[in-house]
Amino acid sequence: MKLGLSLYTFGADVHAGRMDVYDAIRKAAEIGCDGVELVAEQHVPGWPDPSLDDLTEIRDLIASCGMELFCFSCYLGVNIRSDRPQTQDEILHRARNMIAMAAYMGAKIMRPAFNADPVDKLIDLVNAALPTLEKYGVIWGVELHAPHPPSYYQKALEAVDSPWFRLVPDFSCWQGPNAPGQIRTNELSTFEPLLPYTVHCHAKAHMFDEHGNEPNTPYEELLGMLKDYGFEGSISGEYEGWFIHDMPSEQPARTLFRLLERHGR
Amino acid sequence: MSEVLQRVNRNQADRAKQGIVVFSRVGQRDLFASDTIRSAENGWRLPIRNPFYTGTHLSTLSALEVVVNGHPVPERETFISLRGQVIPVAYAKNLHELWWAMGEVAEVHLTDPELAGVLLARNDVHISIDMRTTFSYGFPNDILPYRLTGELGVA
Repeated sequence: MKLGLSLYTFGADVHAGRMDVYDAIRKAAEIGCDGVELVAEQHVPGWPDPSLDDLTEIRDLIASCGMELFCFSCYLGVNIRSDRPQTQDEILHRARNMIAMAAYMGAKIMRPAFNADPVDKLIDLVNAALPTLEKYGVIWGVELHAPHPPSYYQKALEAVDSPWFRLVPDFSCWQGPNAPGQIRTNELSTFEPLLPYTVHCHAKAHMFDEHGNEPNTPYEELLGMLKDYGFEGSISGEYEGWFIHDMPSEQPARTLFRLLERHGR
Repeated sequence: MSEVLQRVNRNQADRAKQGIVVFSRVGQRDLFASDTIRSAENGWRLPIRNPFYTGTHLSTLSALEVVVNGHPVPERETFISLRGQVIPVAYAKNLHELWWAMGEVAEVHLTDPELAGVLLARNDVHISIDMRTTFSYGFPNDILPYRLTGELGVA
């Protein structure tokens, strides 16, 4: 499997204006990543209407560092306007634009965060986007994340039943109850039936012990399940401890990547 | 800005759910982009960073209130300036086309003439921001509150 970092990991420095997307890409390359993940709303200048020059510069920098763009992440917000929620047509319009942008950036996977309840809303949206996904050769990677349980995603994946709609599990779903912000913890066995759908993972981390392990996340077990399955996709380390502690990003980024290498190579 | 100048209001933890506290922390830490309020042609300017953990539409700024040394600045005297566009803060919620990037510094313009008699060499500046999340995280009414008091000088 290919290992790298989400640039989300560098959030403390990006939020405080100490680092920009180009610095973060170079740092990920220096750490030894095979690839990176971008979060459009955090990293793309001029979002949601970026210039072609900016997109090209980011894409070319990633390539020139010998890395690939594992995943182009974005959000499909519903509460953008204060007078009414977005309509399904407006959300689909944004999704289609993002699919084209992901393709231009060279990403094979796009993770559009979209919180739909009931799940039929997600199924309808993805079905409407399928022709665009196929046209551009981009997989919609739905992120397995709280507050929904794994069964929610399994239902959507089975209903859409398309190679252009696959799963991006976030390891936080299997974090222990002491993880910051943990809403619901799930049995590791719930990952098993989802492995055939998995194309990319978010290896979430909030803290590390003196051995460089994430005390609330079963990295060895989760990466072991992926290896045993023969997973050939990508993993983005996603350090989120910057929500809690203000510290330079480099050390946790290095620690997280070493953790991935220890159990994922 | 020095960390010792900033103190998160303790009562926030009492009012907010755990998720709100976690989400709010990074914003509160980085909110003040300067340790001074700057005197300007039409009043005073206070640089603040977008407190949310990503960029967001300006329309998500549901409320922004500033209190200086206990004096609340009226909403009609409060403006937000993004990349040179100065907007009455009460109108911000209508401007979904304007993007406030992650960590981007905006200037809050305070045109309240009463501030001239309120400001001292060092000032307790309390800022209260309510941001609507475009994506539901389960917060009540999808509103994320940021509350921060800092000690700021005047330049």
